[in-house]
Amino acid sequence: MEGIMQQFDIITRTSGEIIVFDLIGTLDAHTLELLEKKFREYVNQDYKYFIMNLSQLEYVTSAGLGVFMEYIEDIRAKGGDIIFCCARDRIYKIFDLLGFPVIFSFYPAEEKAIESITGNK
Amino acid sequence: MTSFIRKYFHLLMIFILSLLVFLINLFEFYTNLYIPLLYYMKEFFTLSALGFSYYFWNKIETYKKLQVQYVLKSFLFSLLIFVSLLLFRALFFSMASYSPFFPYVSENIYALIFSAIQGILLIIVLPILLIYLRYLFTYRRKFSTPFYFNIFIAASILSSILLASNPEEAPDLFSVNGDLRDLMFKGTILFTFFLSFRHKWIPYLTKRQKYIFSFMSLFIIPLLIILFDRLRIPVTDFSLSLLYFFNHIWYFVIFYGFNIMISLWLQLPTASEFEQKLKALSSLHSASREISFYDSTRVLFQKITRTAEALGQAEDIWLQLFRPIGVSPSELIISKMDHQILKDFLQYSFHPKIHEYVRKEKKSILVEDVKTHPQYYPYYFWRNHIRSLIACPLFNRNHNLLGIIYFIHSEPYHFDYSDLELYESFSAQVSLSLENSMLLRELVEKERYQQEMKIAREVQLSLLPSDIPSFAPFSLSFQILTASEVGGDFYDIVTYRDGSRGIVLGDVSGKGTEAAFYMAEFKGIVQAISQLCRSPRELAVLTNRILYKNVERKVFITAIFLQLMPGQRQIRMVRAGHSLPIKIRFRHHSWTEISSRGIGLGLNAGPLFDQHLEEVEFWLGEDEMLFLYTDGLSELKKSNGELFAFNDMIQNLSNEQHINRSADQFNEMVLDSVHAFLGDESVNDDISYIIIR
Repeated sequence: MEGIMQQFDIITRTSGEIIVFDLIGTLDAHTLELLEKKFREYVNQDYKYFIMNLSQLEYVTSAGLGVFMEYIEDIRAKGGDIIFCCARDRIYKIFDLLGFPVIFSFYPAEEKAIESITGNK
Repeated sequence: MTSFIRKYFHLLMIFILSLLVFLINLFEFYTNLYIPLLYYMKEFFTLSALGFSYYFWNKIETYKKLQVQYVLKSFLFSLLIFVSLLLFRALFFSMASYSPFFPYVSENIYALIFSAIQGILLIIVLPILLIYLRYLFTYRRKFSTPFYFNIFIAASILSSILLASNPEEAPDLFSVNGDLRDLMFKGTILFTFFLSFRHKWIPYLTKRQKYIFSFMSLFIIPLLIILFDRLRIPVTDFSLSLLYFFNHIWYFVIFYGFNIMISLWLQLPTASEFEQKLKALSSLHSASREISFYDSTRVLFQKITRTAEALGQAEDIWLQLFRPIGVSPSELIISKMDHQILKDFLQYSFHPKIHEYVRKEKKSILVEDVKTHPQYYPYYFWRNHIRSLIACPLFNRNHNLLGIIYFIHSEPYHFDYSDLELYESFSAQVSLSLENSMLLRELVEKERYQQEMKIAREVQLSLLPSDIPSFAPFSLSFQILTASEVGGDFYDIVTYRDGSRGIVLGDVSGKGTEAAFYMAEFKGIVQAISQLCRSPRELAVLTNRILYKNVERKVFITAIFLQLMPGQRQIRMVRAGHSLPIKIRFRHHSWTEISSRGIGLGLNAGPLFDQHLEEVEFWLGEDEMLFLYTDGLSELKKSNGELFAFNDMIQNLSNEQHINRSADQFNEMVLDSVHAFLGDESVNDDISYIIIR
């Protein structure tokens, strides 16, 4: 395989129906398997709201973004959502270029993201 | 007739010669004359007959056919023949009588006839006994072994001749006589005695055979002695050389028989142990043949357990695989336990673990009694059929740990250090085959992958437009550098409803054949509907609608759709989630990004896509340049993480001096800076760009 294996990791934090994924490192075609695995695991466990904390995300490619598209329909069908927060400028730009903010909500801080969920209840 | 004679020539000669001997004896019997010439002729005929008999048997009983079992059985069979002969004599020749003293001449015609019958029988049988003796003697021979046996034959024949040349006297076994004949005779017997100690075939009998032969030998030895006593008188009457030859062979048989009997009896206590070890060794041998490579670890493991079970002793066998290699145990395949126990074992946290020892020390371990072992006793309390244990590491050629095989038994002290050695060499075989199977699988995977990539690339290249038409008044230059894994880039040329030309530059998410497939789909859709569309926006909207229904959820395409208006230098554009195009103004040595709203294709069924898609229109002067690209170029990275200075390159391109350069020339410039950056390295994502002047 060309290129160095970028490192990618996910730390999950839960509270009730909400689960937060801290995405750490680089999310691209080589590392997205882990993200898929996590989604599979937690979607099956009936978590409704998935908050993606992007503060430690260094880089993301279009392949990585595909994972969110894969699960968003199922999550929204259960009445939940994927919500993004804390993206660095560079990262937000990548999401923006593709048009993600049109489809998903982005918040500057995690509290705001959580508020948007609890506020709606 | 002649072929019959040729085939049975030796047999015929035996009979003819024996008949001649009989006739001479008959003559002597009736005439009572002793004529030396006739006597020597008689002995000559006897010896010749023996010779023919030997050659006859040599042809039949080739070495290849001989095996210990067969030889012993045939030997017993020939003893049976002699016993039958005795019975025969008792039944039909009971009236035969011989003189009481040496040379035991026959006193009546019946005796003479019987002597002849016995004589022929001995002439026929003795050589085959010799051949069998030779086989047993030279079992597992050294270089000089047959030599000793040949000396024995030669000595026996010589001795027979020498002794027969003096028909009056019989040698006395218990007194020493300086006479050459006597020395020859006794010397041969002594030599025979020493030869009789060579019976290397005995240990390799099975335990059962050893027991059977031990008991049989109790009867056979006396029988041999009895036969000797009963046979010697008639044979003396028939021919002296035959008598002495018979003597020598029979002494060998008797000495050998005694030796065998004692040896067998002494080996009985260790027979079972020995047999077990032999079996283990032969299992190991067949294991190394059977365990070649297999497709799946599971099949390999089945073979391993079968062969390991054949090695004997282990009641249960586990195979523990380490993935990644040498780091941590990931898989445990247990032969006689079920999945629940497997899970149980992996979660049971007893420390220290045996596999830790094996992994660190890189050697096998024998635990004679798990229950009383100071460190590993928890294994016994977890499952009490683990009472004694051997664990052997499996190494690949780099001496990294592939896995561990455990051999388990419910009795303590069931394994000892010689077992450890055996299992270690078995494990070495297993390592080899395990590694081979893994390497093979990797190779197959790699080939399949490369084949897939090849197909994907072929598809990708075939989707690109073959001819570039004129875009007057614009001039265009296209470039695509494909990554080996196929990154999803492609471009195409379309014609709108009003005949104006346009281009599409796109990037499909995903890689390999998947990307190529969606590329083809996208191109198909775009080509099909572009002639119905009036503007790039319409094209994009319709394409998205169709695409969304026809691709997987996780797939999306970013693209730029352009329409190059004929006549004027006017361009219409929509940007569906793609990187922002760059407009260079050479006179000002500056460049700007043209931004317009738009999300990627395939993300949304329609409403949001349409809503957020902004169409822009602008004019491209002759002193300006439009640069479209995919993120393969803007995000270009080297393997050490160094980022391509994209902005700097654009800045360089926008130098006023380049104002008159053609699109193709700019194409080259960009290509050069990419190659300068990468050096020897290859791209890992597709790079595409389009230059419009």
